[in-house]
Amino acid sequence: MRLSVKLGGHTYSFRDVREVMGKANDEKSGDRLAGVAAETPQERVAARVVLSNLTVKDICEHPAVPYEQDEVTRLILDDLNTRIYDQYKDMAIGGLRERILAAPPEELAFMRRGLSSEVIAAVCKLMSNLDLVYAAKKMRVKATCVTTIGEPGTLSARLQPNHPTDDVEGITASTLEGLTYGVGDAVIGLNPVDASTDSVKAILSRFAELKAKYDIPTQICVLAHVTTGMEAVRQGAPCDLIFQSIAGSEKGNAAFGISNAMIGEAKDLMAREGTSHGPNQLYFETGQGSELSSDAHNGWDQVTMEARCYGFARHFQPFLVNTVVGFIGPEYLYDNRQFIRAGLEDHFMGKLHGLPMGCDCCYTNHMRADQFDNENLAVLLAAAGCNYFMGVPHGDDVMLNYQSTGYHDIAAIREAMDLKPISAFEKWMEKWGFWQDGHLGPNAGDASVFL
Amino acid sequence: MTEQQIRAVVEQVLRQLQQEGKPQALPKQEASGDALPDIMAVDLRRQYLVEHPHDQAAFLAMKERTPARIGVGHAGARYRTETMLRFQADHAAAQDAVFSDVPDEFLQQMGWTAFQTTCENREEFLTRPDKGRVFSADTLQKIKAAVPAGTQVVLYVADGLSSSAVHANAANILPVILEGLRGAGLKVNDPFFVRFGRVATQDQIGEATGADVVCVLLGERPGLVTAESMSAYIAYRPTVGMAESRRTVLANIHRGGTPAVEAGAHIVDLIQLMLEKKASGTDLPI
Amino acid sequence: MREEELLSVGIDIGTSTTQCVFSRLTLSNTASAFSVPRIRITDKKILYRAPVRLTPLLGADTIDASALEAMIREDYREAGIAPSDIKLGAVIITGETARKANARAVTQALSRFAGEFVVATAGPALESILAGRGSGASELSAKKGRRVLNLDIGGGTTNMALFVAGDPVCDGCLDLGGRLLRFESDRQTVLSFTRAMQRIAEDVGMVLREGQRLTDADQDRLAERMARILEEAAGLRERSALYSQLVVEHGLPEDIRADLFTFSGGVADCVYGLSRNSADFCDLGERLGRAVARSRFFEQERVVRPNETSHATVIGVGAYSVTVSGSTIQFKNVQLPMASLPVASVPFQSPSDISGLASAIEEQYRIFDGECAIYLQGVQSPDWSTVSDAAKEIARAMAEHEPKVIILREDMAKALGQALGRLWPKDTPFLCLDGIELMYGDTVDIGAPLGDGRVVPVIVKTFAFSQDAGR
Repeated sequence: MRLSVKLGGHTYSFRDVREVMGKANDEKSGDRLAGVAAETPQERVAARVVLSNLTVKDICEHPAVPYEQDEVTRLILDDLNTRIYDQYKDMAIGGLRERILAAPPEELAFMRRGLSSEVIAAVCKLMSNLDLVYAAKKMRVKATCVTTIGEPGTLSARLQPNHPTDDVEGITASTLEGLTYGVGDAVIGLNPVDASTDSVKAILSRFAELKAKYDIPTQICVLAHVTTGMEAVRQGAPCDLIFQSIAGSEKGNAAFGISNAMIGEAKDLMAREGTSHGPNQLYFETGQGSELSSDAHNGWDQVTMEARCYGFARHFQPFLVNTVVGFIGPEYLYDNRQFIRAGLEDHFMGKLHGLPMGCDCCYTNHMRADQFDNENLAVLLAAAGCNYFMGVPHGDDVMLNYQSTGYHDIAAIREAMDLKPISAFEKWMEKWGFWQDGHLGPNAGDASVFL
Repeated sequence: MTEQQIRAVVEQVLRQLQQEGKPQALPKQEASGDALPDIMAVDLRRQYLVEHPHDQAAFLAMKERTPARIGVGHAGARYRTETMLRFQADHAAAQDAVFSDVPDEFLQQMGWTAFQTTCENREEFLTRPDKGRVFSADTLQKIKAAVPAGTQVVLYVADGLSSSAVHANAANILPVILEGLRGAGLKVNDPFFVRFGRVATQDQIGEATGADVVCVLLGERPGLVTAESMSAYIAYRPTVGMAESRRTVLANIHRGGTPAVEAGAHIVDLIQLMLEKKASGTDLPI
Repeated sequence: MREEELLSVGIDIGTSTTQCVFSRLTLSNTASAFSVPRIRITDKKILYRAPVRLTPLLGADTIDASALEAMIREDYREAGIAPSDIKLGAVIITGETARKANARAVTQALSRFAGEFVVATAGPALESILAGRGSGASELSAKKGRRVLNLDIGGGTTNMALFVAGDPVCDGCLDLGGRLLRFESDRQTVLSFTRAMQRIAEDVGMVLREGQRLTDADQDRLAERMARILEEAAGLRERSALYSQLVVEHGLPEDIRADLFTFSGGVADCVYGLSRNSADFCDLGERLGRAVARSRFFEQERVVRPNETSHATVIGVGAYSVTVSGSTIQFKNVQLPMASLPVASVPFQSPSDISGLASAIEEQYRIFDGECAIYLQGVQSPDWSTVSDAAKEIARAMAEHEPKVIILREDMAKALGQALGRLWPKDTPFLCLDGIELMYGDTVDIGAPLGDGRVVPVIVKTFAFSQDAGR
């Protein structure tokens, strides 16, 4: 491995793969906080030059956390197809970048079975923003729960009707309005305030009631901890998807109170007792910086740790995976440039892992970013073929106190970019007058048609 | 008094009230200069902008149950101008709350001495949470000197993520706590201010002063609903590196949440309970 | 706090029947974690409805108190509930029965036996509101965003209340019910009738006599006239002279406007085409119900069948008569429960009202002979200066009076209470609570603290209800 390089007459030397990977990242406040970021823009490029010359094998053999110490690493490496890996292992990361950009979709679908999460993170670091859009666009990933997400030409949305006190009637009001804008074909999914099993069951029951009453072809979920989700299912609650936030290391997952075995158990439970047929019945959320926040990053940068979340996720064949990109705050992603970059990175890395990837394009009020930036990210990701976004009333989440994409944003992006909801859902919308000829219909925005 | 007597009294008073309270014509509101009405004063729970709805009243009844921005109508697939501008106004207020400092005049007006954590500026405060939790040895010494020996409860204010919250609530919550605790015979310091301060500043301050209870009032990360929300974090004998669960947290203190004076009165009871039980956070049975 | 469950009883001693219902109220903290608690009644579940029984009377003017108590004891036994299990509730004496000579003594005796904080209540306004809450009309108005008028047609009276967004805005009561006219078992021979019934008969050109036989057509004429009176009351028909004669205390305002109508009370089941709860009524109830079903009420699909019909009032009494105070309140050394305290309201809505506060309170103490609760609207999210200045005025005005009870609507009782506590001598008993909306002349009962001592239950007995329908 060659770890030093001359750039503009100045020599840059790096200690190890970890340092190269950290310094090759585009600027992120979280990498600074972790002390792994490049000191100067030139050092950053130098690291990229070094990285572009390392091979797939160099990267794969230096996982962020050693195989012996970390069950996430074991899952990622044990899941690799060794013959496919062998085909790519001597390729330089710079060459791999070009191969990904040039390859047809079928080759990408083949190739990814041999790429570890660290390799995918490495190639991501060499991609420009448009590279990330262009490459991701070639990777359509479908998944089936009740309906099938990810068909070409579709853009789906999670309906996120959060409420500061989980008031079921208030949640219903937001849900009904979202449906009229065509939001909710990915899932109707609530982040609960009260994480008790009873509260989760009450909300699931209401979602199931609405789904049955209006005959809505979609899936329902309450985003509580996986153990609560499982308990609700065991107690007979209607549930199409079980949710969990995940991290890229065993220690990070422990901070979330989960393990490989627990997620495996949830998958098995849903196969037996979920109200959807599947086979994809899990929902994961991720986000750059979460490992650092629980001191579980092992000195690695946040892009690599994020990639490992996807390596973990793909083992369980989820229906939905999205990064909650700007939720974590300015200590990890400081401003508009950083969170837009992170959103593009996460989507690309997820897709290259073979995940049905969506994105919660979002930001908090203590970041240097605003709704215009958020709209920019959403349009870029829609161009990249992102499976789904969030739909929040007017983009303002009144429970989590952050801003995401609004109901209107979903409709506008679909219209502007000639995208459609999932076909069964589209037919349902047309029946209710919410959608007509690829545009919002006469009843869009008027939830009182349901009353 | 018998029921009949009461009834007679009430009826008489009501008659009087009716006579006195005859509606008088209100002075007509003249257009005041050129100022347009404040879009941030619109009550979002009652706003309804859907054109030609099937059943406006029924939807408004549902909307009463959530602060979410629904019933907003649309222009094509986009927002109507009014709601878009309101969103921007709310976000601007939130950003101002985060990115501006509590003005020096306000500190003077409150009579606060200001201390600063190891953060140099606001950007560093936002990106380096570790630096916003600690003071330099020198500053810590000054804080210690500012708190009289034998103080049982240390009370101070920090900007946290909203200087607007400090500005809006401090003058109303502090006297309630001070009078309440001092009235109960407890020794409390004269409150001071911490700039670029996070919650865990209370740990160093607790260790330095040896107080039984440390209570910090600080600005919460603003949402769009309000940029003026304050939280109280109260701990019994806090120490550096202690579990977060040892803090008792009281959030959502603002005009539309818990009024500052009521939160203050609740804190008076909480602190007395902590002193009695010698515990805080999840260790405190309430 | 963890959830707290309270057993509640409601007893309705009506003109013809007496009912008893046991409910379970759940009290829980609805505030999000890490906030000041907000304790509310979050669930109301009816556990047991005792069978409807005829109200025992001793002659025309007296309730048979011992038979009534024995009946209620039987209900408790059948429900498997001891009076000592009952945390709160209310006894209401309604309709004609409220005018019996020993009505007051009977309800008070019953309330003492029925449980810890069971309050005796009466009054047509209260009855109208509780019937509308118990029927579900109130909830319907909140849920659908409609103005809902509930008409509770009982044996002796019809109690009406209009609900907007869940709250009653006006009420009225009429001397009109299914049992104004009673027949022999042949259902044709007149056994007895009330004065109001005679007026109705005269209005359609008939004169009633005991022992007289009424044809089906005659009976229907009477029932239809009664249904028209209800139309007049609800603003569906111009009001007649007869209408004014039948008004008890007050009627609904003339410009009453409702979007939906609900019927409850014993006659309601016949309105909705169901058989009456108890079959052996030989009176005009069934025909009255059918006449209403043919009336203008049903012309525009504006009638909704509520969740509860014949049990509406008793459920209202058992599950809706109690409210809980705000969760940040202040009290010291007071004896609770406190029974039947009249409410004197004093204007305090803004800091500018503070200067006259002491004299306004003293004025009310003079009117009420010193024994009343002082109700103040209060200021939303007040400044500290408002609280401390108001406390000085209130403390001065109340210094010499017992009991010291201050009730506020706005959330400020704890701050104000602490300030008051410092102004009065140590250990002075007082109670300062908020979150309760009252009218001048209401009477309140205040129970012992619930929810880890954070709240107190309050039963408000309204007797001078607002006539302002335009609100």
